Amino acid sequence: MAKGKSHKLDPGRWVDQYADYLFNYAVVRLSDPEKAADVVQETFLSALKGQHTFRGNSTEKTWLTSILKRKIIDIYRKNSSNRESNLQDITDSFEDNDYFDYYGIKKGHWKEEKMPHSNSLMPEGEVENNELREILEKCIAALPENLAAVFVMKMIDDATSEEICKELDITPSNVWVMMHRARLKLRGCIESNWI
Amino acid sequence: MNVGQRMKVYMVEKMISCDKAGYLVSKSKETKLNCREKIGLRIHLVTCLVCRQYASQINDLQHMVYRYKNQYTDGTVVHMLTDETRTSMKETVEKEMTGK
Repeated sequence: MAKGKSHKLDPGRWVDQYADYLFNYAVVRLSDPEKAADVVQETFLSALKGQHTFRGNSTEKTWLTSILKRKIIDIYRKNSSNRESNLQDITDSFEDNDYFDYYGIKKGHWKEEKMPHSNSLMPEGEVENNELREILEKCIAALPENLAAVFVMKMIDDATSEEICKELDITPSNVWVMMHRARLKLRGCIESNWI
Repeated sequence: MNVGQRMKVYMVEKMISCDKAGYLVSKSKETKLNCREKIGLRIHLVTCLVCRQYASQINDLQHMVYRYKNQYTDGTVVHMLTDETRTSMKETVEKEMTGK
């Protein structure tokens, strides 16, 4: 192992030191505690096998997080390559029968039950951080998996559209349509659960 | 048709519907809209209360997610493993270590 200031690995303490941090990281990105625990477990096992690839120029925590990150993206890829269930979402069309009418003269208009009813998505008065977190996590978890993946990559991990396209093998206009669908659903979920 | 009428017909033809306007509201958060999209959206928003409300709520949503994300950036842990899962994880890792 390299000398000097470089970081060292101490696998015996990994679970105690990093398991909660990594689990939290995974829950935010997968919206599923069970899947999150599994992927953290896999991260530790991969890390054990790949100890020789650790160069010591980052901390243990950063190194483990980067392995976890990779594994989460693999899960996203798997979800998004399972296209049968998501055919409707991977499209370049912004048309959406659930939210807009496509009959008669009202073509392209909001469906009555899906339209917003005020300017604000926040309830009046102060909103506590944990209230905000609960409603967002609940509504993100209710999204179809492939929409949630794109939304989280973009909004939580600040991925660029190019990065998302590369990782998930989709086009920029797929990304825009999927972000649009995610926002339609999130807005509806938050409004009906909150206000 | 005089110029005014012709302009009116042109405007109606170019008018976008709510579904497209909603899409453009969202797209404008990801990328720069081109001129035509920008003008189409702006004209639609002037005439459509529901889409103005939608646009305003989507702004709120952006802020909410930003605030939510910031709750975690300092490494705060909200979701904790159950003791049971943590113990079993530890056992699996130890087994793997001694197995070598």
